[in-house]
Amino acid sequence: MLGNPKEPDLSTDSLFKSSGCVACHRVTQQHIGPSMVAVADRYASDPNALGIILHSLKLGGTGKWGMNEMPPQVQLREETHKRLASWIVEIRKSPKLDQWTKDEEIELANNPQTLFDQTTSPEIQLPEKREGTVVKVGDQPVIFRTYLPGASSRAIAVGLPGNRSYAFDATQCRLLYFWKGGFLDFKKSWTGHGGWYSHLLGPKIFTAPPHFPLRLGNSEEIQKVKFNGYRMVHGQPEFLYRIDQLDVRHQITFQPEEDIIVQKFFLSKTENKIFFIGGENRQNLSSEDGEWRGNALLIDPVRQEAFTIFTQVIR
Amino acid sequence: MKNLIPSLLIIFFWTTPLLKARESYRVESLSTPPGVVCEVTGLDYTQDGTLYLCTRQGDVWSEKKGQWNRFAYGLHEPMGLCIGKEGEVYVSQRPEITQLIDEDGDNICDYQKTICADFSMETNFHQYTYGLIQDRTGNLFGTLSCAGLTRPDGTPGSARGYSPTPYRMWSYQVTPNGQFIPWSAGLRSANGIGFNLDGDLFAADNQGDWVATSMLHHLNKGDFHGHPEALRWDENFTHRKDPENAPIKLLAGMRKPPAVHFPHGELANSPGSPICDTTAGKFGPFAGQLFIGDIVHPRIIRVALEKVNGQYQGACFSFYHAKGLKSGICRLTFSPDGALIVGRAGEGNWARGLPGRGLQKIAYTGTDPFEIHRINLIPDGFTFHFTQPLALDLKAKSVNVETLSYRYQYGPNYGYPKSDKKKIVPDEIIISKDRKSVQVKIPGLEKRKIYQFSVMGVRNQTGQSLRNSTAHYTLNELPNQ
Repeated sequence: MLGNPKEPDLSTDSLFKSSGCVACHRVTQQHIGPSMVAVADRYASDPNALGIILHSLKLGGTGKWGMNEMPPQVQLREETHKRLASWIVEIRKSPKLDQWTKDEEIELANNPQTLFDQTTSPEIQLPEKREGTVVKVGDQPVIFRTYLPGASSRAIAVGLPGNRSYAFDATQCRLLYFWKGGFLDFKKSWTGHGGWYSHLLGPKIFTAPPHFPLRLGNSEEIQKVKFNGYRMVHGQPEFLYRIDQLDVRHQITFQPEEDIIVQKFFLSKTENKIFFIGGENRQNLSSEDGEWRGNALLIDPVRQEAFTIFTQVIR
Repeated sequence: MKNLIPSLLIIFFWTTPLLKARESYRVESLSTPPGVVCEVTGLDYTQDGTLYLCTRQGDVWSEKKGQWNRFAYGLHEPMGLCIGKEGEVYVSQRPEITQLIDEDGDNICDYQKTICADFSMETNFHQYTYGLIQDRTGNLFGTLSCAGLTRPDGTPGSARGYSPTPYRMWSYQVTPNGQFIPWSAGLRSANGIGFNLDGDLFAADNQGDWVATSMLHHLNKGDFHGHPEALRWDENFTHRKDPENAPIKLLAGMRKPPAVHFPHGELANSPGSPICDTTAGKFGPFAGQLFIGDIVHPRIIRVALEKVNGQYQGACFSFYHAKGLKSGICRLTFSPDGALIVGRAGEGNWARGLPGRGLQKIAYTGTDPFEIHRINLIPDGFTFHFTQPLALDLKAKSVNVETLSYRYQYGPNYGYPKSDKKKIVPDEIIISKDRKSVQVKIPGLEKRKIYQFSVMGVRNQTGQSLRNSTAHYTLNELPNQ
C-alpha cells in the first residue's frame, strides 16, 4: 500500500518472520546466518549489545559469524530495526523459546542441508560420477574448467582413468602439473558464493617448468599465445591455441605402467625452426623427434607438424 | 553417448476449482535432468523448439519432447546461454565466451570453441560473466560483474564491488569475429541482459554499493550507469585513479538514470535477466513488455516502458508472486507455445525457501487478466491504460488513486531507503470515452522521482477488481511542452 510500508501492530515475533529475517535466520537454530539465541548469547554481557545488533541491521555485516554476508536491511524502518534489536537481546526470556526450539528442530529434520544431495543417476551414462560436490572419473577422461590452485584464473582440469589428473592453463596454454588419487572436490566452487578454487583430491606428482615450452625461430624469443578452445578427439581433449601465426593442437596423455607423460603437438606448416624448452630436469624428457641443444630440443624439420615429448615422472 | 531421459511434468498448483476458471496464469514445475543439481543460469530455445539450459555446475542440457540430453559439461560457472541465428549454442562462462559445437552430429558437444577471452577475469568469487544475447547481425552482449572483496585466504568477504582490471563492471559486445568491445560502464552486478522489441539492450543491476535499489538500465554504447569503479577504465574520465572519490556532482551529471527502479524488499532484491514478451498475445495482453524474475522473491516483475524526450522510462508491476512460483529466479525465456519458462538458480544463501533451483513454467490460461496494462506520462499527470474496459456504471469519483512520490538517493552506500516521500492527492480523475483508460491529474510533477500508485475502486464490466492494483513509475523526464 502507500506511505511507509505498513508494519503495524505486528508482534515482534511476526515482524521477525515478515521482515525477511527468516530468509537467513532462525530463532534457535543455526541457518545461513547465526541463530537469534546465539546472537543474544554472544553479546549477553556487552553493554552495547543493542548498538551492535542495530548496526548490523542498518548497515549489514560480514565477518562476525562466518563467511556469509548480511545485507543492510534498508527496506525496514528504523523503528523496526530498534524493535527487532531489542527483541533479539531479550530472546532468552521469551516464553515461546521452547516452542521455537521444537518447531525449528522439526523444520531442520525435514529440510536438511540438501542443496548438494546429488548422486548422478545410474540411468544417465556420463563420463564422470558426482557425489555431492566430489567428481569422480570413470573409464573415460573428464574435463572441467574451474579455478585451480597454482594456475591462472583460466584453468582446465582433466581427470584420466587410472587416478591421474592434470591441470592445463588456458591463459599460458601449457601443462601445469599432474596429481594422483581422486579428481576434484568442487565444494568451494559450487556452493555458497562459489567462485573459489576446486580442491585436488590427491598429491601432485609432477610440476612442469614455469614457462611456455614452445619457441618459434630461435630458442630465446617468447611469443604471445592465444587459447582457442578444445576439441574431443577419440575421447581425449585436444587443446587448440595459436602462437603468432601458427596453429597448435596439443594432446596430453599418461602411460600408467611406466609413469610417463606423453605430450603430442601438431603444428600448422611453418618455415620457422621449432624448439621445445625443457626445465631443470631436462634428463626426464625424451623425444625421437629432434635433437637436444642444452635444455632446448630442436624439432626435426620433417617432424614439425607432429612431434611427441615424453616426460618420465620420478616415483 | 545420447542420454535420453523421459521428462515428467510433475505438479500443477491449483487453489480451488472455482478460482481455476478465473485465473489468467498458472504455474507448473517442470522436470529437470534426474540426479543432477540443476541451478539454471542460462536458457534459450532453438528454432525447432529444443530447449537449451546451462547450470551453475557447468552443464548444458537440451530437452525436446520431454527427452533430456546432456549436450556439454565442465564449463566454468556459466551465467548465460543463447542460441545464435544459425542455431549455434553460445555460453558466457567465467573465463570466456564459448561456442559449443557438435561436429559429429551425435547431439553431444565435442568442440568448445573460444569466441572471446579478451577481458580480465581473476580468481574472485564475484567476477561473474553474465550474458548472453545475440543481435540480428551476430554480435553477442553481456555484462561483467564486479570483483568482491576477499579475505586473505580468498574466501568471500563482502560483495562491495570494485573493478581491479578492465573491464569489470562494464557491459560488453563481442563482434561476430570475436572482438571484445566495452559497451557501457558502471554496472555493479547486472545479472543477465535482454532486448526489447526494438532491439535496445536492457539489464537489471542488483542493489548494493552505489545502487540504491535494484534497477533496470537501458544500455546504449558509451553510457555510464552509476557505479564509479568502472570509470577506472575510461580514459576520458578525469578522476580515473580514484573514481569513488570523484565529486558526486560530476558522477551524477555523467550518469544515465535507470529506466525503472524496483523498490528493494517490495518488488526485488536480486533481479535476473529481462525477457521481452515476443509471443504476440500467446502469453496474454502484454506483448512487447519486459518480464524479470528475482533470486530472493518468488516473483515475476512486469515492466511497461515508454520513451519520453527520447529516453526510456516507465512503470513496473508485480506480475506474479508466490502461488506456486518459487524463488531463486535467474533466467527467463518464452517457449514456442508462448509460456514463460522460469530458470531458478538461487544459491541457498539468497533464495527464500530452499531449494532455489529448477525449472518452472507460467502459462496463460486464456482468461484475460484485468490489469493496468501500462502507464503513460502526460504533461499534467499519467494515463493508466487497462487491459479491459471499465464498468459502464463506474464513476470517476469512486476511483481513488493513492499516490506517493519518492526518490532513491545516488551515492556510495550499500542501498538507500526511499527518501523525499510525498503523499499526493490527484487533482482530477477522468475516465476515457472508450472506458479503457483513466487520466490521473497530478499536481507538481517532479523529475527524477518515482511515483507509486495504488489504484482503488476500479472494476471491469463483469465486476472484477484489478489483479494487481500497485504500480511504480520512474519519472526521469517530463514531456517537453
